[in-house]
Amino acid sequence: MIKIASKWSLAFSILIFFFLQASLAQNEKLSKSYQKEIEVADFPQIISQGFWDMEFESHGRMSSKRKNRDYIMVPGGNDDVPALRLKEYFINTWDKASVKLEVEIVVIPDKDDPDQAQELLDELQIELKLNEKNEILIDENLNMAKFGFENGFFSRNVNTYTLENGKSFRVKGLSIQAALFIPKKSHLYLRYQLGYITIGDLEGKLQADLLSSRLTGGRAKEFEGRFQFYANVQFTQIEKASIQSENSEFKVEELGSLSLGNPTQMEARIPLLEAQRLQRSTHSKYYLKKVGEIKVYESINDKFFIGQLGSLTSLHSTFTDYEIKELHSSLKLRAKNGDLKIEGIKSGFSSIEIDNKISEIHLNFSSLENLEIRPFQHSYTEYDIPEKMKKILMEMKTTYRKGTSSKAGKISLLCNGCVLRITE
Amino acid sequence: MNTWEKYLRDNKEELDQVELAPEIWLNIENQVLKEKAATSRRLLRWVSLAACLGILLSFGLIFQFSSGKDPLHQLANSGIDSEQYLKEMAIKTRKLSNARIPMDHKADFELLIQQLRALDEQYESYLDELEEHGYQELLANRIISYYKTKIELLDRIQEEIETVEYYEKKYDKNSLKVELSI
Repeated sequence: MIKIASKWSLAFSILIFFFLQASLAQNEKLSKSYQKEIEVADFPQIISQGFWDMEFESHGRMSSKRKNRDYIMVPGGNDDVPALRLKEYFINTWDKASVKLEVEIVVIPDKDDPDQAQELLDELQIELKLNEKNEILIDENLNMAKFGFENGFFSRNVNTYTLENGKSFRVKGLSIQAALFIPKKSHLYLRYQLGYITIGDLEGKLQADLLSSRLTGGRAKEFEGRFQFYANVQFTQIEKASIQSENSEFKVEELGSLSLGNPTQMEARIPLLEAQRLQRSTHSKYYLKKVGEIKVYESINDKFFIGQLGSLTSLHSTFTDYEIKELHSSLKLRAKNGDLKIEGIKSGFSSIEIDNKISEIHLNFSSLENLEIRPFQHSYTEYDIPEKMKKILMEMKTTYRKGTSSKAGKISLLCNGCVLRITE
Repeated sequence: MNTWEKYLRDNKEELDQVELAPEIWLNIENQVLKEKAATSRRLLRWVSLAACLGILLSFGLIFQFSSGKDPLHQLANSGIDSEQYLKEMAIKTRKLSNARIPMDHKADFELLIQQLRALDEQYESYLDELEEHGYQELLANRIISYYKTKIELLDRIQEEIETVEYYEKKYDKNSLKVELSI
């Protein structure tokens, strides 16, 4: 009896083994690496448009998700082999005067015609082209022009990659990993959606048009960003940044200057989603640890969380809240319905001018030794001003002063419907 | 020849003349008809039952297929309670739709309402994509973000209305008021 049982279990194990072998063989991967490097002049102009620059055609069901930092698309939903896997895009910068693109393509053959996978790998070509403006075009899709899938209730998945020459190849899955190497002094325009991008230090100008993507960077000299719907951008250091944003986040450790909602920004480039509202900054969050200067052209319902701030000028800010830990120099805020909270205004600051309507303003000074507050117009405003400040009349206006006028940091207020708290 | 056959042959003439009473024939005919009708009824009953089952099955399949395509159903199957968020948003929106604000604030609030519309447009496109392609984790995450962002925005509008209202009442401003048109 035991002998029979052991024979059966042996036979069963062999069957399982062959079954696993067969299924593994079915998902056997083929891969090929492509490389191209060209020499470039100083300050080359580079354009990288990401995977979705190619045509996409879908018929049937699909699911998409993110696994670690990869974007994965699985047509049909039940098949566990992704038809497309976009791996994180790395943009490295170096001192060499050349641009290099490395792409690794991994293909899983379709069982109905397994040879097409190898044929696709053989037909793929890497190129670094120049456009009419002499800009270098980076195509991480190589010469693929279209990706499509088709599936239905009575049919299984058919995933097709079509090349620029019109040839189509059926494969079960394809994964792309691209790495770009560019000179540090390059000017780079990056247009990306649904992906993760990591970029090295850049001394040229970086323009980023991002939709639902995450960009992580080191140091950038000049950065122009246009962010839409849940874009998330993080840098260690930026000298000069100009941002237009909608429902996104921008986080920088150290920022020289920031211009927000400047309508002239990136005029020559077409946004990923056409939207007039994108010229400004709306419903976005800004986390800035240390920033020299901020100029807000137009901000609506944003939130600023600022550590150390040199100066801020806001020309048009509605429903935007500012939370500042330390203010060193000056603040000029023209706003409506937005709150302002400064936890520490450093002695030696030059001026604070607030023209606001319906808001709570809390200004906490590290010292009230030299200060002059001039509420020019203050309809419907509630004040909470320390008693040690002397109430005097200057130019027929009530003024609160402590210390000598010539050395005093000046605060002028024009507020309608505000709660103003001055503390030390 | 057995006894019975012999009896029939001997009494043939007599027996041929015997006629059954018409009421007996009628009874027999009725009986036969009743049985026929009962058989037809039974058949009809089974056919009706089968038809009903067929209709029920078709409805079930249609429902299953359509609910499988319904984006909210897809989200619910993946543990995302859209109903709860939608209910909360509906309550907040209803409350705001009754609000009246001073006319000179209308343009400012319109900026927030534009944001609500932009969010809704994006949400509709997410739902369309779910309906077309089926459940997607990435889209589902964005839809959750949409729910949270919209609730946050509705709260913000409510908060701002209350602040404006506070100053209106406190300083007895009596401003001309208009509907928020949310």
